[in-house]
Amino acid sequence: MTFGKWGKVAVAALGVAALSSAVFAQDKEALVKNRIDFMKGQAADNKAIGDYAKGMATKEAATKAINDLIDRSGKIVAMFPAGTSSTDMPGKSNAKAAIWTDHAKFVEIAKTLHDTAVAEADVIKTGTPEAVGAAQANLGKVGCGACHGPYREKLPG
Amino acid sequence: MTTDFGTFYPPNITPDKVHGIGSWTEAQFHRALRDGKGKDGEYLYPAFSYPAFTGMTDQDISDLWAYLKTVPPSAQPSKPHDLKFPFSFRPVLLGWQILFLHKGPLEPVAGKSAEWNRGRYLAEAVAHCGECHSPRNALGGIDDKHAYAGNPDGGDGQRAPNISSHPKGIGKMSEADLAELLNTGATPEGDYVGGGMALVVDGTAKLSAADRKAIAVYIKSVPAQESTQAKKPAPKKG
Ligand code: HEC
Ligand code: HEC
Repeated sequence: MTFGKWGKVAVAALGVAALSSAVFAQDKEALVKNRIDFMKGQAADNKAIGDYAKGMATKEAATKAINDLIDRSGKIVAMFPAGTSSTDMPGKSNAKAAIWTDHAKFVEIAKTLHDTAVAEADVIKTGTPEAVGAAQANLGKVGCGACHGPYREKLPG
Repeated sequence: MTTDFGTFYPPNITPDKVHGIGSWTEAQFHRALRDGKGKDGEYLYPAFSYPAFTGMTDQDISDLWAYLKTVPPSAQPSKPHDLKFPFSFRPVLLGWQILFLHKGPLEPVAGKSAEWNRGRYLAEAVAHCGECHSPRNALGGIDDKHAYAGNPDGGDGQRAPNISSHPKGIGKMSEADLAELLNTGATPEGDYVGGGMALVVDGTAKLSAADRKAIAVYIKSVPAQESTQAKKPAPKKG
């Protein structure tokens, strides 16, 4: 197994996990609130790119958004220290406990988001808005939806 | 899939003769979908989707049958808790994606537009939105009184959210928003659906824009309902 940047991210997250019992409840609440805002920021980036594909926003706005997504993708894993699952913090966190039992796959999806976003930046640079629309639908699926399926709770109401 | 009376595993519906449906006849297949009876005439549990298939046209069922015949046979036995016949979500989705969609024997409702009736046919008889999004009663049948109000078991241990037009459902989504979600998987906020719903979108993305719009028109017409089961935990993945 290679120990590249993503391996280090995973190890960093586990390090945070080891310390988590020392994290006060209050801090955990702030952390979860922060990560939810962070996730919403990613959604806003997607929306900006989608708007560009539909001719409703500038290429400049789409470029800014994809760069922000690339930047954010490297920060996701560290935002999920152990002790912040929906079981630990019902009603506050929607992070499924599977994140910590099936951690390698969680890290892998964050990396897929990163790689897909890097490729999409090229499409924005050189491709048509239609091509951007297709790249964006793919990113949403393999980079966002793929993680939300197994790792995020969705309340049926 | 877990119901109040046990866990069911997706059965083997590949053409393998021993473990799959290789020894079935097309007539048995039609009967299973129409009447909920297995190969030997035994009744199938309502937890399987057959109620939703009774609305499909004969042609669509024949197309699905022809499609399943092309799937490579798998010699893997169905898991022991399995029910005799076919359907869990994934094969269903696989099947309908490639179907030619015809106007079905699901009787059109008088006084509703052709678009609404088309949407109802696609949502109810072909894409089975309610199979995941409607809550179930103790027997595993769909609780029609709370159609589309959300279900703790939306397949694969995932919750299927309320998609009625209740404020806690998709009250804020317009028909256009919903049609867009069925095309790209994106919500109006730029979030993306995952899990079983991503597979559904793989299918609906292949429909025409007019058909996606029709589904949206129909789903948005469903009465707003609050979820009856918002507090019920999702089953463990099985
Ligand atoms: C590696 C996993 C992972 C990836 C990749 C990921 N998410 Fe998330 N996302 C989560 C988890 C887990 C939650 C639940 C967090 C919580 O409730 O604490 C979440 C929550 C959200 C929410 C809900 C915030 C709220 O209102 O509660 C949005 C919106 C969201 N993500 C958008 C995105 C978008 C857009 C992308 C892709 C650009 C993305 N996410 C990529 C794991 C991921
Ligand atoms: C295999 C089960 C399944 C089927 C069939 C299904 N869905 Fe879903 N649906 C889900 C799940 C699970 C989610 C939650 C996805 C997530 O967590 O990102 C969902 C999410 C959604 C959402 C997003 C709701 C929100 O508030 O974000 C909409 C809208 C939706 N489905 C509509 C439909 C329609 C319309 C159909 C029929 C064409 C359908 N679904 C068929 C399982 C299913």
